[in-house]
This record gives sequence, structure tokens and C-alpha cells, in this order.
Amino acid sequence: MIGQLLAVLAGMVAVAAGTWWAGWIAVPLVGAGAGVAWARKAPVRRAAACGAGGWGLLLLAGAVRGPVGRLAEVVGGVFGGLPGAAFVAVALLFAALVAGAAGGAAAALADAARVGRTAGRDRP
Amino acid sequence: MASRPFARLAAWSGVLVLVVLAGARGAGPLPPLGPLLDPVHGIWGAAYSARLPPSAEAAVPGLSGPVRVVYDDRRVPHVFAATVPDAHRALGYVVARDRLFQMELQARATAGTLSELLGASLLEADREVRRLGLAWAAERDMEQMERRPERQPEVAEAVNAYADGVNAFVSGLSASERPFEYHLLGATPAPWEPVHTFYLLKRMGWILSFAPVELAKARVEALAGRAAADALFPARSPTQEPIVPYQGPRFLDAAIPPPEPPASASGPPSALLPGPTPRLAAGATTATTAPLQPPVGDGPSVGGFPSPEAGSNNWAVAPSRSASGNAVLAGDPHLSLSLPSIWYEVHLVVPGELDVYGVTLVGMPGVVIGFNRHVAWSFTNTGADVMDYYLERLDDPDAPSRYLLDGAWEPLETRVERFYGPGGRLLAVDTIRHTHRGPLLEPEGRQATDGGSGAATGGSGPPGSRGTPRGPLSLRWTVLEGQEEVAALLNAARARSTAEWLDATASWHAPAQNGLVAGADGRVAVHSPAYYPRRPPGVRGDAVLDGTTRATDWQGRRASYPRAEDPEQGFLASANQQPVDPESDSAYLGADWPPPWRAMTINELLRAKERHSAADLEAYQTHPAGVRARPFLEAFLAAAGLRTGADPGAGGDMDTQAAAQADAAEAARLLAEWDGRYGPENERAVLFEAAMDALEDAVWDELEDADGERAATPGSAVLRTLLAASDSPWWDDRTTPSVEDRDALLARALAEALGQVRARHGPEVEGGWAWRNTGRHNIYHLLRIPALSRLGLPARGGPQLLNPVSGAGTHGASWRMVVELGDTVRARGTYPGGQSGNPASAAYDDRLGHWVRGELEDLRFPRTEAELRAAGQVRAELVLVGATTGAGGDGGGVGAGGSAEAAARTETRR
Repeated sequence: MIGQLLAVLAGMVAVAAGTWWAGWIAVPLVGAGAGVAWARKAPVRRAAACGAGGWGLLLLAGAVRGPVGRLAEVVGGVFGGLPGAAFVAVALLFAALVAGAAGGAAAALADAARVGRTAGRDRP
Repeated sequence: MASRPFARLAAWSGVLVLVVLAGARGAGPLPPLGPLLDPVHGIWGAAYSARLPPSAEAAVPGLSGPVRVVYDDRRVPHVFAATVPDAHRALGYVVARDRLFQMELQARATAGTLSELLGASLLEADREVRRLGLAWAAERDMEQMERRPERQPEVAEAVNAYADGVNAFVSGLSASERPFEYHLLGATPAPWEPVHTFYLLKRMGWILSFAPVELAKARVEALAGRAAADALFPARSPTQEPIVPYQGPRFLDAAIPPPEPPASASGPPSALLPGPTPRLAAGATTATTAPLQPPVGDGPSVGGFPSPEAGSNNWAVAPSRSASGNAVLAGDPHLSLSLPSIWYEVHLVVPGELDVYGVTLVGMPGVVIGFNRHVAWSFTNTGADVMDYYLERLDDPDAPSRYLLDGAWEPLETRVERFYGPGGRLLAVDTIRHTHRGPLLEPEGRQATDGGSGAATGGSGPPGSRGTPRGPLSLRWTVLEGQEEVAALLNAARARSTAEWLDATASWHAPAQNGLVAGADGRVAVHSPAYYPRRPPGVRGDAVLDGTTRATDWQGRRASYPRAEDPEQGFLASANQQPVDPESDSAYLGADWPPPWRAMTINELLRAKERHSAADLEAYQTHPAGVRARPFLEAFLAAAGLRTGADPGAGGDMDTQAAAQADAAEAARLLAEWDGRYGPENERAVLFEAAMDALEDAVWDELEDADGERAATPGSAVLRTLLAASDSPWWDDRTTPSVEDRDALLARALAEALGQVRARHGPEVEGGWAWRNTGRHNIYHLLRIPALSRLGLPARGGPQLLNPVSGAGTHGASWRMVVELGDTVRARGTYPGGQSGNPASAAYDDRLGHWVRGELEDLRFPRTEAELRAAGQVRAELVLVGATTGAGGDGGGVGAGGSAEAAARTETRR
């Protein structure tokens, strides 16, 4: 259990580091990696957790550098009067969705490849 | 079973494609979500840059030595540089650091390239400014400066240095450091070019001097006759309290000729207009463009006539009239308010050369309004007539190539303007034609488009005749013909006496300004230098002129301009009123001057006691009463007393009339309780203002066209004149069978006002009538985004007060300043907003509270950085170093030679 938690935490750190280095496009890449790694163990949920958690870590770190809460309120206001917390949730949800979808697709691809290999071996 | 992985693959791949597309390209009105929401490179970066780092360092190419910038506890940068160009480089850098998006947006608004940033919905706004030729004129100024840099060497040096500073900041911006709005728009900042400074100047000229009085007056002429139009929009203000002291208030109560029947042959008044001029179109602009337009400077607005919201003030008392024995100056320029503010506060120090504090226009090197150790100064708009329209006759209505001039056909010059949308898509191409006077403003819908052509042949009669002229008009406007303002302001900042300041600003070109100066030398002076056209004898600028002859052309610049120094009365004041009493100088400078109510109010306050302190002057800036209300209040009360018994000729049955009379009497009773003040809790000002609105609507019905649109509204000084003629035909309401006189209309206005105020605010006893519920400020963000705007702010002012507030509440004191010039300069000031353009920063709007309450803050004016440190007023510091000299200081290298790109800013936080 702890091992799994540590693995997800590592995924979060990977998302955070990838975002820092390459921007948001790192999220589906890390999500896909997570999907492959956990192809048979709830890949979508785990990849999504890595995405949201990774961005959550970055926002927490950002809160030290500046008024992230105030900014969230301002941007939420711009987008139809959302509360600040809702805007933070939107950001995390987006990361979760991107990572989760990438994880799901990657896991399905891994499964499909496995099924394909199995079918090839079974053919007379 | 084998198909399940493939189905999952297809499903998740679909979801992935959708979310990645939303992330990369956006969805609907949303920008791309990935770059926006990215916690490192996205909009969150605005939070990280919201606070100034305590210490930072950056490289700016071209600096001759390190420049230290110390931000005080009000976030005002104090720039300590070794040379003036270095100070301007640093200024460009620090302004861009706080206001980069505003700089680009303002430049684009003048260049007519908003569509490229904000989309095709801005195309019409872009077309308007390019039709006027603001950017075209700025580029000509720039070319001239580059061709002859020796003419204004300090200007060339300043605008180039400023651009270097801005671009040093821009080129070093990381994605996350982009200002907030760029993230929202998914855009990147454009480089700043020196010509953008000239764009800004043209934009100010547009805001402050685009007053097509002749067009509005011609429409009135078509409805009511020429004599009436001349009287309603006179060249001599009917109430005189001029800037150049002459006598006390003086009333020129000339009779107003009765309206003539509308000219049947003249067609609809709108036929006069060659298309919606920017100001005329301002009311129709989209929400997005509105703050970018110049709807009101502090000069005229719709139709070229003054907005009751507009009004700048400045006044100064000589040592003989000040409590301290020092000259004291107060200034509050009023403009369309926005967030971030049009102004940015700064202190520039170059030992031995420059030590100036004040507000700079965002995008321009130097201080516009402020003070140094020797003088303080402020401006109000003169509102002079510096633009003329000429009715042209063209050779071909569909494809004009020539215009008639002194019996010969002269070729029209053309310029082609291309408009692009985001991504470089071509939206439109316009061909703008010019006569020797300026751009040809062709009738709406007939502008040559897409390389095609279209124009009307001119002339249904001689210009200035009774008929409404139709057809293409050319525009001559001083704003399109050169600039001297940058040089004037750069030199003014270095003035060591009032005389030097007056000399420095004497070459001012446009827009005409009333520059007031007070000095530590104990002198006070005001002058209104500008390019005032010298028109041929008998030709005035308040009528559309005949374009077919050179006989109506300007003959150069008038040699003299209004000026007063050290008056016997010991004070000077300007508030956009007619500068000189026509009895002392009858030269034509303009028409339809704003009513001098504010000037009368401040003169009255300054005459009221012998000596005034700086605190007195500060309090006067939001004085809650004015003189405008007095004659009208008296007339309303008298009319309600006079009007008894029903009028059988009036509309409505006798019961209705009796009820209206009872309402008028009740309204008069309530108004009689009014003390003439507009304090937030005052409960009668709202009734008076409603009565004034109702009165204007009833009196000027003759100026409404067939669609019920009023062609223009005469000023309240003209309305006051009309009060003296109780049976003038102007009082008659054309929609009733009876003939109304003054008192009937005044009583009716009272009754209507009472009904309206009760309907809007409830009964008078429940507190709903408090002025704070009516007098509100609405300060919009530049993109009109409500969440970034500050709306419904309580106002300490009212119509035609020294703090004028009315209507939409979108205008007001853009900067308030009081400076006392003794051995030590003491200054206080504030503006609505804050130094930072970043909405996540506390400094985005941290001055609003002071401003709303009418309070000023102490301004820090240290001679040295150490002085500021000793006072414990340092908030942050920034060291700027030349790109080729290394970082110095702590030894950390920053940048190293090469191109601007290579020497890009690398702001390191310590």
C-alpha cells in the first residue's frame, strides 16, 4: 500500500518536474507513462491523481512566491464569477483529465498490444 | 473479449484528443487551457510577479552605467541615473515592468491594430483611427525626427532610450512573466518602437482636441436656423470668468433668437456627417472597445460639446495669499478613468541635471504633470478650435481622384490601409484619400474598401449657408501636423524658475493646454501655448468651410496666446473655461466653451479668504458645492410659486394638471430645503439634478430631429441666459397645443423630476434619495472585464463641481496633486488605481480608497537614495546595468554584449 502511494507520489513529482521543464504538454506524457506502468491497476485513476497532484504541488509551491489565492479569485471572476477555489479546482481537474485520458489510452494500448501478442502466439 | 482493449483504446484516445485540443487550441471563447492553467508558465505567473522582489538586477542595453531604482512604500520608483538618457532607459524598463499590456493596447488603439490582438470585432474601431490618420501622422513626425535629429536631439535620444528600456524588459520575459491579460488572450507582447511614443501623443491629441463643433452646430442650424445655432453655441461664453484675470464673473446676457422652422430642403441632419467620427461613434462602440476610445477627455464629447462629467482644474496661490508664505499649486486633470490608470508615478534623478517627480503617461519618456525643486505645474485642456472641416467637391462620386481647388482639379493623395486579424488573416483594405488639408472623411458606407472606391460629390450649397452641406469633408487638424510636446516636457522638467518653465513650454503644439506653474521663486503664472490656426479675416472655425478655394485655408500659427503672470489678486485658476474675456481680446480661439461654473467656484473659494494653506487647496479639490445650481434653483423655486391655477391650453385634463401643479409645489418645497451641496448623504441634490435633466429635455425639443434624437445640447450657461427671457419661444413645448412660457416649463420639470426620483429611489423619507446612491464612479479595466473593474464607487462630487461626477461615472480626477514650494518641497497626491497593472497585485487598486475619500498621500521626494532609506520608506530595489558592463554590485554577472535579444533582460532576484 505504502509502495503504491510512493509510486503515485513519484508520478506527481514527475508531472510537476515535467511541467516545470516542458510545460503542460508534460502532463499527458507522464500520464501515459503512468498508464503503461499501471496498465492493470486502475491506470486512469492513478494517472489522474498524478496529474492533479503534480499541479497541486506546483500551486502550493507557487503560493509561497505570490498571492495564488488572490489570483485565483481574479481569474475566477473573469470566467463567469467563479470562486477562487473553483478556479483552482478547474486547473486540477484539467490536469487530472489530461493525465487520466492519456493514462487510459496508454493502458488500453498496452492491453491491446498484449492481446495482439497473445492472439499471435495462439494462432496455429 | 479481444475487442475490449481496442474499444477502450478508441474511447480513451477520443477523450485524450478532445482534452489535448482544448488544451492546445482553446474551445469557443476560451483561450488554450493548457498554457493558461499551467502552474509554472500560465496565468498563475501573474501571482508570482504580483509582489516586487526586495532586490533584483537586470541588464538594459545602452546604459552608460548602473542605474539604481528604489521603490518607496507607495511603490513609486525613484530612478537614480548618471545621465538623462539612462534615466529614460530605466523609466521605459520600470513602466513596462508594471504596465506592459496597457502600453501595447494604447499603441494599438492609436495604430488601428486592435483587431490583430483582440479579433475582428474591433475592425471598425481600427478603421476609424486610421481614417483619421493618427498613426500616419505620428509616423511622419518620426520620419522627420530621424531625418533631422539635430532639431530635437533630446527627443530622439529620449524616445529611443525609452524604447531600449521597454524592449529590454520585453525580450527577457518568460512565458510565466507575461502580464495577466496576455495569458487571457493567449498572446505574446510585441516589441516597443520609438514611434509608439508619438502614437500616444496623437492619442492624447485626439482625446483632448477632437471637437467637431462645426458639425454639431451645422446640424443645429438645419433644425433651428443659423442665428439660433450661433447663439446656442457661441464663440463668447455667455458667462465670463476667464483664466487670464479680467474682472469678476461677468454675464453677457444676449438674447437668443427664436428657432426657425426646420429647413425642408436640407434633408436629415445626419447627412452632414461624413461617417461616424470616433467621438461621435463612441456611444456605439462595443463594450470591448469603449475604454480604448477617447469618449471624453476633459473636453467636449458627443457632438463636440462638453460632457457634464468632464472638467480639469488647476489653481495656484502666490506667497501673498498662502498661509505659509510659499507658492502653492493644486492640479487635478480629469479624464476617462481606467484600470490601470493612464498615469504612472515616478521620480527621476540625474545629479546636476534632473530631479523631477510626477506622473508620466504610460509609454512616454518624461513627466507630464509634477514638480521639481523649483517649480510645480499642472495642465487643463484649453478646448480651443484647432480643427476645421472643409466641404470638398470631387471629380467622380464613385472613383474620385481629384478635388476642385480655385477652379482647377488637384490630385487626391491616397494611402492604403490594411487590416489584419489574429494570425495575420487579412480583414479589410481601405483607401484613404487626402487633400492638401488632410484626410478626406467620406460618407459612411462609402469609404473605399478592398481596393474599390466610393465617395460623394460635394456641395448642395455654399458652406455655412442654411442648408446642411452634404458630401465629403476634408479635415485639417493641428494634431496631425507635428509635435513639440516631448521636447517641451523634457525641458520643463529641468526648469529652475517659473520663467524657464514658461519658456520651455512656449513651443507647445497640440493639444492646446492651459499650463499653470508656481515656483519657489514666489511666482505664479499660466499660459495656453499651442498651434492656434491663423484663419483668413472673416473665416471662423465653428462652421464647415468651403473647400473649393484656398481663401479659407489657414495662414499659419497665431503669434500670441493667452498668458497671465503674477496677477494682483494673488492667485490663478483654470477649469477649461474660455481663457480670455472677449472684451479684452476678441480673437477667435474657439466656440461653445464649457460653462465656467467650476472656474467660478474655485475663484469664489480663493477670494473668500485672504490666505490658504495646502490643506485648504486639497479640500477644495472635492468641495461639495458649486455655483451652477444657484440661478436654476432660484428659478425653479420662483416658478413653483408663480404657477397657480390650471392652464386650459395645456395638455391633459384639469385633474391631471392640478396634480402636476401639486407635485411641482411639493418638489419646490423639498428643493427649498437643499443647501446646494452634493455630500454623500445629501438628500436633495438628486431632485435638483432630475429637474435639470427634465428641463433640458423640455427646452431643447426644437433641436430634436425627426427621429427624436437631439442634434446637440447647448451648455448650461446658455440655458441660464435663457432664464432671463420668460416668454422666449424656446420655452414652448411644440408637442402641446398651448404656448408655454419659462415658468410653466420650470414647474413641469419640477413635477416630472419628483415623479422620477420617487419612482427610482422611493419616498423622500427613507434615505433612498441620498446622493451616494446616484453619484457613483465606474472605473473599467481596459478590456471592460467587470471582474477587473471597480464599479459603483461612491463619489464625492456632482455635476459641474470641482470634482465633476455625473452620467455613467466613467470620468473623473485622473490625478490629484497639491505642491507647496518652499525651501523644502512638500507634495501630496494620488490617482484612482495603483502603480501595478497586475490585477493580482495589491498595488493594482491600492490608491482607490484614498481617491474615493478625496484624500491625498504624502509623496516621497528624496534628494538621495540614502534619504529614502533613512526614512524607512524603501520597499524594493532594482539595479539596471548596461548589457556590456556586467552586473556589478554583488558581482553577479548579467548579460553580456551583443544584440538586444542576446542582452535580454535576465532579472535576477536576490
